Amino acid sequence: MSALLISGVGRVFPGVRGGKPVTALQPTDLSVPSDDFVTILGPSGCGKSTLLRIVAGLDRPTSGTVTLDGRPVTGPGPDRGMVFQSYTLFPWLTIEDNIGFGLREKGASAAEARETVAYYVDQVGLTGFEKHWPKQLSGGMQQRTAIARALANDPKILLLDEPFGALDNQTRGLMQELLLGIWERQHKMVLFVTHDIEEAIFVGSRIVTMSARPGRIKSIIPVDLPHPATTR
Amino acid sequence: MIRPFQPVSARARVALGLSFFALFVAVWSVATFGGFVSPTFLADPLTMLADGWFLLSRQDFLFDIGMTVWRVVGGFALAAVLAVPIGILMGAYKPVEALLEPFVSFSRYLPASAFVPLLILWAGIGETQKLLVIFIGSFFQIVLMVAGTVGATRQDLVEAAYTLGARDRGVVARVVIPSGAPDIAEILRLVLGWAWTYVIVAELIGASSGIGYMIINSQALMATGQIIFGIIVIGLIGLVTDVLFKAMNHRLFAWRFA
Ligand SMILES: Nc1ncnc2c1ncn2[C@@H]1O[C@H](COP(=O)(O)OP(=O)(O)OP(=O)(O)O)[C@@H](O)[C@H]1O
Ligand SMILES: [Mg+2]
Repeated sequence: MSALLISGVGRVFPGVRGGKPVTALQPTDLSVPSDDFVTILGPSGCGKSTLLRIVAGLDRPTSGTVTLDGRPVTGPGPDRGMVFQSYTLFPWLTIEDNIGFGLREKGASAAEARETVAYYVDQVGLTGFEKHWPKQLSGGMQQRTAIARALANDPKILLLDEPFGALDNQTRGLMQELLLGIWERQHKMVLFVTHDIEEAIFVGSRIVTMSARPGRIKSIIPVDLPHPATTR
Repeated sequence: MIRPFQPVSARARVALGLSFFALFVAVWSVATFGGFVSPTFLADPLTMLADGWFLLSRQDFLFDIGMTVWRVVGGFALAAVLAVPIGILMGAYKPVEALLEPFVSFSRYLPASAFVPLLILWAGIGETQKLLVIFIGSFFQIVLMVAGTVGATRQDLVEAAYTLGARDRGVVARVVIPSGAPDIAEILRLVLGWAWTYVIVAELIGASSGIGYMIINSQALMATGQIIFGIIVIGLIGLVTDVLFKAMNHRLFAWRFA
C-alpha cells in the first residue's frame, strides 16, 4: 500500500531586499492514500505551487518532512512525476522524444521505449504529431504532451500544477475528462492544484482547500459524486 | 509597403543583398574614375581586378590565402575545442565560475595584437606564433560568452529533467548542452569573424606569407589595388563561411527555426 505523507511541512522564504520573511506555507499535514485523486484548491499566492514543489523535491521545506511509501523525500526523482504551471517541454526534442525523455534516462531499451511512447501518444490523442516540435503545437497539446511525459515514467504519484490554467473552458473540459480516463485505468495517486472550484470538484475524489497568506489548509472535503467521466 | 517583421521572398532577399554591393561598387567607381580621389590613395575597381589577377597568376597569391585560412582555422579550432567545454563547466558549476570568471574577464581585455611582440620573443616568427595570437584573441571571448549562455539555461527545463529522473550529468548532457547549442554555434560564428582581424595583425609583423604579409608589402610599393584586392578576398571568405555556418545551424538546430 503506497501512500504520501506530508507532516508539518512549512516553507518560509527569506526576506527580499531587507524585507520581512514571507511565510508561503504554514506547517501542513496531509496524507494521500494510494489511488486517491486529491485536488488542492486555493486563491493565488496561498502556497499551492510551493507545496507541490516540496513534494516533487524541487524545494526544501523549512520545517517538516514528506515521505512517499515510508521513504523520506530529499530531492526530485522519477517516482514523482510533475506537470508544471508553465510550458516546460524540451523545445529541441520532438513530441515523442519529449515523452521518452525519462525512459531513456532510466536506460529502457529502444524497443521498450518506443512501445511505451506510442501507447501514451495514443492515450493523450496526439497521434500524427509524434515528429513535431513543441512550438508547432497548441498550448493544450503541449500540456497533454507534458502529462504523457510524466506518465511514461510510471511514477507512483502525479503532481499537476494548474495544468489547464491557460486553456479555454471547452478544451479544459476535454482535458479533464482525458485525465480522469487515464486515472481510472491506471489508478495512481494524483495531487492536482487548481484555483477553479468547478474543476476541483469535477476531477477530485477529495478536495483540500487552502486559505491565503500565510497559506494553510482550511478543510478537506470528500467528493461523494459518482465520477462524472464514467456516468456521462 | 514595408511593414515591421514582414518576411521577404527568397528572390527579393538575394536581389536586395546584391544591389547594395552594386551600389557600393558604383560609388567607388564614381569616386575613382570621376577623378575625385587620387589613384595614389585609392585604386579604381578595374585596377584592383588587374592587380588581383597579377597577384593570383604571378605572385602565387593562392598560397598566401591558403596560409591565412589555415592559421585562422587552426588557431580558432584550438581555442574553440578548449574554450567551449570550459565555458560549459563555468556556466553550469558555480564554484568553477567563481574560480575562473574574474581571471577570464581580465584576460579578455588584454588585446591580442599587443601580444605579438611578446609571442615573437617566445615562439619565434613561425606558425606557432601566428596560431597563438589567434588563440589568445578567441579563447577568453568564447569561454565567457559560452559561460553566459549556459548560465542562462531555463531553470524550469532543468527542474523538469530532474523530476523525470535525470541525474546531474544527464542534466548537463541532455538539457544544458542541447538548449545552449544554437547560441554556442552563434558565438563561434561571431568569434571566427574576430579571428580574421587577429590573423592579419599577426601577419603584418614578422611573416613571410599570408594575406597580411602581401598587404604590408603592397604598402611599400604603393599598390593600393593589391591592398584592396586582399581586403576584398578576406571579406569574400568571411561571407562564404558565414553563409555556410548559418546553413549548418539551420540544419542542426531545426527546432529553433521551425
Ligand atoms: N522563490 C521565492 N522567493 C520568495 N518568495 C516566494 C518564492 N516563491 C514563492 N514565494 C512566495 O510564496 C507565496 C506562495 O507562492 P506560490 O507560488 O506557492 O503560490 P500559488 O498558490 O501557487 O499561487 P498561484 O495560484 O498564483 O500559482 C507567494 O506569496 C510568493 O510571494
Ligand atoms: Mg502556482
